[in-house]
Amino acid sequence: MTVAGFQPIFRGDVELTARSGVSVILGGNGLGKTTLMQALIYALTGGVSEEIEEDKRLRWGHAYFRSRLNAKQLRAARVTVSFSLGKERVHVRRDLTSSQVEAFRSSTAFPTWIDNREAAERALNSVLRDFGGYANQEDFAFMVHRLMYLPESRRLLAWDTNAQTRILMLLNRDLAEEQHFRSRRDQLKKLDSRKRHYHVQLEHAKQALINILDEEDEDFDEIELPEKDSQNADALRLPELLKELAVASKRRVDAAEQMQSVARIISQLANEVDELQRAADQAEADVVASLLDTEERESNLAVYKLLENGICPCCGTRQKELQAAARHYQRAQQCVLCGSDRSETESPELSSVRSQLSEKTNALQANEEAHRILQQNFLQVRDAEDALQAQVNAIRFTQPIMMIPDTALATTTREDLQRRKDALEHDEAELAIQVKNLQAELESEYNSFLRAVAQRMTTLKGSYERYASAFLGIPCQLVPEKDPDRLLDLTAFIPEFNGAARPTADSCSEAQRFFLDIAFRMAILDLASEMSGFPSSFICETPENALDVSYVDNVAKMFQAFADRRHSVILSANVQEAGLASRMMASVPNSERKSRVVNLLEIGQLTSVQQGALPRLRQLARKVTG
Amino acid sequence: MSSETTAVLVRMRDVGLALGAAVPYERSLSRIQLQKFIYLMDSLAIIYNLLPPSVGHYTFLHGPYDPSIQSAVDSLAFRGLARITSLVRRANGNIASGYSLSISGERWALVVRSHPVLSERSFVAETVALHVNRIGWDRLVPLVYAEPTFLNSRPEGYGKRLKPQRVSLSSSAYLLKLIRQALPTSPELSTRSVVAEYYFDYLDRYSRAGHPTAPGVANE
Repeated sequence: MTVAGFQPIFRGDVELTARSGVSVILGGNGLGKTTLMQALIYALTGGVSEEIEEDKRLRWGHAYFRSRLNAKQLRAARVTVSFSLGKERVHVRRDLTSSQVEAFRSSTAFPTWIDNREAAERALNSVLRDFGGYANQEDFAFMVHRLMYLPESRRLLAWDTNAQTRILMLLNRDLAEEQHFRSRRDQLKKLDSRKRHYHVQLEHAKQALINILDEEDEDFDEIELPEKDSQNADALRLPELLKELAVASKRRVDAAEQMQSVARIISQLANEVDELQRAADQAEADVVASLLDTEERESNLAVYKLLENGICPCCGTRQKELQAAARHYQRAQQCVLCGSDRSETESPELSSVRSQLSEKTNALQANEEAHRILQQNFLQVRDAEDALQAQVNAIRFTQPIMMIPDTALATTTREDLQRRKDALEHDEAELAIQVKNLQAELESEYNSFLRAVAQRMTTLKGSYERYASAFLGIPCQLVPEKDPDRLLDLTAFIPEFNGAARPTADSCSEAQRFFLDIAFRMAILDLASEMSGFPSSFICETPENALDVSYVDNVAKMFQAFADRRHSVILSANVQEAGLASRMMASVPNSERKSRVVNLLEIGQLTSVQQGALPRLRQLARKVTG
Repeated sequence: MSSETTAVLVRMRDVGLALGAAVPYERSLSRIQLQKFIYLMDSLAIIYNLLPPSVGHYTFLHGPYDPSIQSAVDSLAFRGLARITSLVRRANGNIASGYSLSISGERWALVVRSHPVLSERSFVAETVALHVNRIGWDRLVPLVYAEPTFLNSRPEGYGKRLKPQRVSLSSSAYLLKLIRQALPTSPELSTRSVVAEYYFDYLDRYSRAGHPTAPGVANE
């Protein structure tokens, strides 16, 4: 990365080169460590937009830098970053007049600089899609901001179920359509919000109606609209029908959930039965093999003749070499002709396997029977719902479209109010059905994704265990936990150590939550790297701020384990005694250190306090820079 | 032991039992009949609390097929335990052959039948032979084409793994369960043999009732 025109923060242009292994941005308070990292992230993504960050306070863009730089030099300020996206080398330049890309080129797709902003944006999108597999810049930016970059604001990923879900889905694009899933979740939120809005209005209408009834001293239940014609009669039936439909819909969703739950048990039992049957097959195969061997010996058959007399079973001539090979195989308990192994594993105790098999088979059959009954029940419930829906549709088809204004509740008549109440009840019930249906669809889609991604999660969990345990010094693993949301239950992956799962960030100390978050991110980056075949990068601001000196070695080991997998790690660090930076650089040869460290003591604007302590600061910095 | 070796050895057991069960009726079984006979053994095994091998038949051109069965019978023939009769190479290149047990094969099958671990399965083979003989050996293939698991899986094309022991997937297991539940529990009745009788009668009636089996289905 090259940063130009960032005066007065830096005295001149700054260059940062990061390759596989650890690179450090070394500085003191106010010398520009954060600015340099943010410049890097800005060059990659253009900042944090609302599509990436729900929290307004955490969004930033090109304007963020402007107030901190010399106004005269703003037009000259630029950040250029070059990075690898799979096999493609990508170069992006941004200035501070807009968050859009100012210029772009890449090694094969766009070998010459494109300096028209819109064309450059299109080119970047196309390269991200073709070489990175991202649907658009927004997805790429999300991965950078929420996975690869851990800023000083400590926006954690480890306990953020929504961000975890989005990242895991983006990473496993072959198994999920993240954007589609997210947009339908948004749709679910909007539907639910509308339902609540209608509910409030309905309560108001009911109250207004009660008020009128009180005034008229009449019984609420006796109110009936005059039946002008058959359309009115139908309209009066509609709210009741919609209530019935809502009940029927809930029954269908419940029945489907029950079926899914039993199907999961069946799937697990079927796997166990298959496993046991394989063991039983093996034990019986051993018995058959032994009976065949006995028969060979006793009957003087072809194979026996080969072993004893060296007679080829095919041509009947005497063949000494063939006999020697057959005897060799026999001694090794292999097939005497082809040498395939016949006793690689010890057969399990058949009676025990059969007993377990019988138990599991009975359980499986009982569940399969239960599933069959549930399936019949589901079909009946669905038919009933369809029949009700058909009635509702038929009534709606004959009804004129009627819009009731939201206003003037106080001035409406009793009949108007009753109509309004009925219409609101109808709309609320209909929305409730839509919400329930969409919830069921999304849950089913999400659970299918989780099942499909299970194998990859095993890889991720392995990496996490390695990193997290290296930091804590005790075993720590990643466990799934349902994160109940009002609208949709998702699964969060949370740490578990000392025998306790940690469902919230508060259940860990400050250092634990921060470094376990880093372990989680690095484990995901490992998985991404394994899937793509290319190494990845992790960028972390001043990790040692949360660290006491006794854990420095553990953290260094954790980062080093990540770097050893050909990934690059970019850290920022304060100049200090026995800090993480000097520990990380200790194993790097002096000749290499200069290219791995950006020393802001030399290029940043030092305060008078820092000027006074400069000799001491330089002495400490040399432990990092060599 | 590799899974392939296990599969073939397990099917050598079944081939030995199937050909052994056909001996009292002086029958030899063609390649396809052998496949079908063992498929019926697999379908019926559940009433003896036994399961078919973990990797068994799948849907194929001439009904359910398990390649391990052919490997097993070839291996038994190579060892002199099975006899190949009426070997014919047809104009289309296919080979038609009949299999029966040799003298030493019959002796070996007897050892297999009397082995405590394998004897239960020999009842399955004998039951299948009893009912196929009652209904007619020429009805062996149509019986299999009427078997519910295969019947439900056929429309999904070739290569679908058949699991007749699974209740919800088809199935013979469900049919056998229904038959068993419908029978009065009586100590005088050998429930298994009655269930098997009803099961085969069902297959026979279904196959004769004009239900579609498959174009060109015939015994070979």
